[in-house]
Amino acid sequence: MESAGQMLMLAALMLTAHAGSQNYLLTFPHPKFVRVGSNFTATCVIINRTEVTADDLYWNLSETILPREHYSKINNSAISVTFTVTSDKPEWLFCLCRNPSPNIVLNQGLYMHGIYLQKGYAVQQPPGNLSCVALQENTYISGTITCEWRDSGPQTEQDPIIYTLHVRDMTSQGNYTTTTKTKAQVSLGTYPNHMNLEIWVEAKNSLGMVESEHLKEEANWFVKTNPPSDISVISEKSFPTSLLLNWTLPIDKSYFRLMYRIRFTTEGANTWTDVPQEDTSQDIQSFRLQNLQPGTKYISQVSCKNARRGHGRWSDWSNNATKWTPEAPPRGKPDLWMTILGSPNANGQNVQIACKDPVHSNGRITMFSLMIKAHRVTNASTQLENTTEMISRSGDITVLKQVPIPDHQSTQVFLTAINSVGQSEKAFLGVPERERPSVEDLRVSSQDGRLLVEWRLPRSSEVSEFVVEWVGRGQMDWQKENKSTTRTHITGPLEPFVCYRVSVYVLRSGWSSKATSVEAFLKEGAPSEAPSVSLLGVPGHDGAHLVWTQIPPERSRGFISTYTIYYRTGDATRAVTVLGNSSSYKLTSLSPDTTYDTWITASTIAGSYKGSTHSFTTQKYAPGEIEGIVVGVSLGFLFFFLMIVLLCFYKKDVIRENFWPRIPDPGESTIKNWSPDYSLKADLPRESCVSGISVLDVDVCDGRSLFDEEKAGLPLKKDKFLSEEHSSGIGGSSCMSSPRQSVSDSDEGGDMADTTASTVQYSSVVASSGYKGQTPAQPTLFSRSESTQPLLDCEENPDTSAQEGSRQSQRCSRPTGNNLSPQGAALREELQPLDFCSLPEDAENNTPAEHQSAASASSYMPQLGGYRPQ
Amino acid sequence: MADRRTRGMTGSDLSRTNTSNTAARALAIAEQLHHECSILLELYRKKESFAADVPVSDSRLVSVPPPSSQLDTRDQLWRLHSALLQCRSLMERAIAKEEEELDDGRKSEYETQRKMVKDRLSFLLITIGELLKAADGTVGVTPSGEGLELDGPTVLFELKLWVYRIFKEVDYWTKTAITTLQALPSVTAKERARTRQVRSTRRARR
Repeated sequence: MESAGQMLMLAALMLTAHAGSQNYLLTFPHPKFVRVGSNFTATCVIINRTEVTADDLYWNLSETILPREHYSKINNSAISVTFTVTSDKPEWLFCLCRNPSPNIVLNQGLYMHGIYLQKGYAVQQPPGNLSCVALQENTYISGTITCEWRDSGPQTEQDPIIYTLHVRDMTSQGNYTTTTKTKAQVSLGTYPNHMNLEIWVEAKNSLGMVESEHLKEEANWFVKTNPPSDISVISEKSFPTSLLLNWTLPIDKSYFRLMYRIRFTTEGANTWTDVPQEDTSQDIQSFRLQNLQPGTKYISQVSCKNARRGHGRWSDWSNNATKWTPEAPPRGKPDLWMTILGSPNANGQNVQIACKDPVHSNGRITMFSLMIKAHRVTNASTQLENTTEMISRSGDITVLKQVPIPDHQSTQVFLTAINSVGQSEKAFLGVPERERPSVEDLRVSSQDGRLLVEWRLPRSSEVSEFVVEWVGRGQMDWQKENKSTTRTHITGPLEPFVCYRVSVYVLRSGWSSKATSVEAFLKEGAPSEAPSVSLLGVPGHDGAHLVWTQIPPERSRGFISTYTIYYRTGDATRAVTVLGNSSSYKLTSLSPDTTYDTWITASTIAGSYKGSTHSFTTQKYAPGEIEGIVVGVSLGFLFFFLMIVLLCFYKKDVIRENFWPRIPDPGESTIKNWSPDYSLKADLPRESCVSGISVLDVDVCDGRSLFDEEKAGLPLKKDKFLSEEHSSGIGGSSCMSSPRQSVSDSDEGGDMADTTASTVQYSSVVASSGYKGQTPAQPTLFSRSESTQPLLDCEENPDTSAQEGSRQSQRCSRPTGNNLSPQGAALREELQPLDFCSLPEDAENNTPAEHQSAASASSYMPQLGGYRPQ
Repeated sequence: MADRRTRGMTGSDLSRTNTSNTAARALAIAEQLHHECSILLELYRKKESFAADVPVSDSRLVSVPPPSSQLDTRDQLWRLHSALLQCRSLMERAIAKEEEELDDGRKSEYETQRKMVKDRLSFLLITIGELLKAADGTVGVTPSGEGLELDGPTVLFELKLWVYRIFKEVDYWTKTAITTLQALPSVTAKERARTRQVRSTRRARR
């Protein structure tokens, strides 16, 4: 049946569309609003087109293609979709068509149709908590009634909930007003007092409507009148504890009878005292307040409502009506107390006498009568001082007088409070000449926003009462407790973060004991300041002594539990925590010659505060370090010097041998036995062996010149040379010969040709340029032999030495032979008998290798670069 | 179907309130009307500068049967209702006449009070009508305006006096209503007895 109806609708739509629409698709339905959360079904129909089918259709909701599982194909040209409406924003639902094949491109503008979905919420709940009120206007009740209610749930901008407030009375169909808010007013013209009213609210939108509960009450049930006006208070001298209140009715009794509520308070008090309701529920226009305090300022207020039970609302409170009750003589004693000012000195102590008005002052205390009686024990004198004064009043405390109380003097104070009507009883307080014991084990703690004071009774005797005194931020107050009390809360107003010094005294028949005191905070806070750290003295090279001034309790906002000292260099920050009673600290293990930033943080249990930063630089050296270094170095040098000296002393022989080689005493040589008469010829071969120790390579030119120079003197020196032949023959080593001696030898080189066999050479002079005809352009090098080989050894091995010496002689003789000048040749001939170089041909035939070998085999190798160990 | 709940009295209570409560309400309305009417008279005298003892005719504008001790409660209520109904007609006419002749377009305290009295008079009529319904089930025949001087005088002074007389008439019948309604508890008691009688009769029939 449903299907048939749908088909019929489709047919009708197709006909309609055919007539008016140019699109080939048609969607339906087009509801005005769709309920959020409901399932919505839409249908799309293809109109008069065969190239597409229902399979080509798809649905697009807010640019999102709906899944095909939500589709339902009705026939070949119609398809529907069902989905749940979730968003409450309006959106388009489009029916679109895809190209049926790649060969067919549809005009998408014609193959689409859309439904604009506007969302709404069904009104979920009736407007609740409906309450209405009709206010008084002038002397009657206003005809406008105002109602409020709770909303009926969510709504959308497109489909808001419209509330209609209905008020119906008996005379007409009533009146109503509409609003989208939850508060409205309905005007009834004349307010129908005593008539019944029916009030309700209707919440309605496009998706439904609900009504609130119907209030059916008499019209006066909703009335709220003005408060009573013209409140007057009458004070009668004969009734100091009473005040008479009068007022004017806010509305005529014919509207309804009124009941009242009255409250009153004293000036400065925070709480109101309510007059019992049963006393004011009558139709009254005056009321007498009783049992009031005489001489006290009272503030009263009155309110009213419909006296009928449950009807009407209480009016606002009337304006304040203020009046003093008449005064009466003070009742009781003033609360007298003396507080110690400062610290006791040598002469005693100063006290400040203060008092509070009697609890029942019954008026304004205008003055106090004070009598001070001082009795000095030492001279048994008594002084009386009578004053009548009203000094200064701070809150409920009156500071009367400051008096010194010397030691060994008892002081008695008597005080009477006076007002305009009479005076109070006399209060007494005494300070004995000797201090009496006070309470023990006093403890003060914060509890529930108050300070709890606990103590233990003194062991001694009778106690009349205790006085708990607290002083903080320059303000002093006290309270008295009876003799059985051992714990009490401080009743006075205390401020947090203020240090109070709480003292407990014992009163014995009015005589005060000494005080037992502790400091306490009602509430501790983080400090508001921290001490500035400073250095004590100059910083050391690895430490610094920091000092600071402790924050006094009155500024610390709490007990300082710890101080944390921070010191920083570069990025490294270190901290040290010390107890709150500390005022100095020595930093150690600091780096020398380093700048440190340091600061101190004061901490209470509630927080901490960082102080200002102080910088210092550690010293580079520790005290005495420089002196130590100087002394150490000096001692080191001294020690070194001594060691050198000792070493030299103990190793003098070695040193002597090294620096001053021992020259063998020729006198002790066996050669000394040589006879000068020996034939030179016969000994030459032997001498030639020894001559290997001392080789003289002399440049040809030098030799020539030498020869030239020396030729003349030669005969003169010949004896000398000959005399020295003995020594040279003994001296096998020339390494220890002095340069001077070498030079001398060189100088005498001219004679060498004829003295070689008989001269001991201590140095060899090598003409390095004297090889094979090389031009002797380079200066001659002198190489002094360092050899310590005793010549005697050569002497002892004549064969080897002779062999080596002959080779060297051969090498040296060759250039000589080649380049000799005529004079040299003559000299050579003269030296021939020495047979020093007897085999020139052999020498010439020597291969360079042999020559080299011969050279290397020599004990005196020419060393250009230095000495080489042999 | 919209949710519909009630608090306090039920829907039937609204139309069939307790008779005694209705009588009490009628009395309260009458007293309120009397208070408001006296204010209206005061305002009118002040407005028109009339003295408190301005001479007005002692004759009544409203014509109802004379009071008699023979009249039962229902008849007394009917008489009262009839008189008040005529008062309202007169007052409506007076208001129309005043607005027609004297209205300056301002909504003064007098106009507010005048409307309040007229509306309050309507409330009283409705309440007394309920009492009449409770008494015998009918409100009775509404008297016509025949015989009433509804047209009023044309001379301004006479018109003002006529309006004043109407207000005085309302005041008079308001006081009469108070008196009548204050005596109504006996009626209520009778009605209560009648109700018990009806119930017992029904039980007897069963």
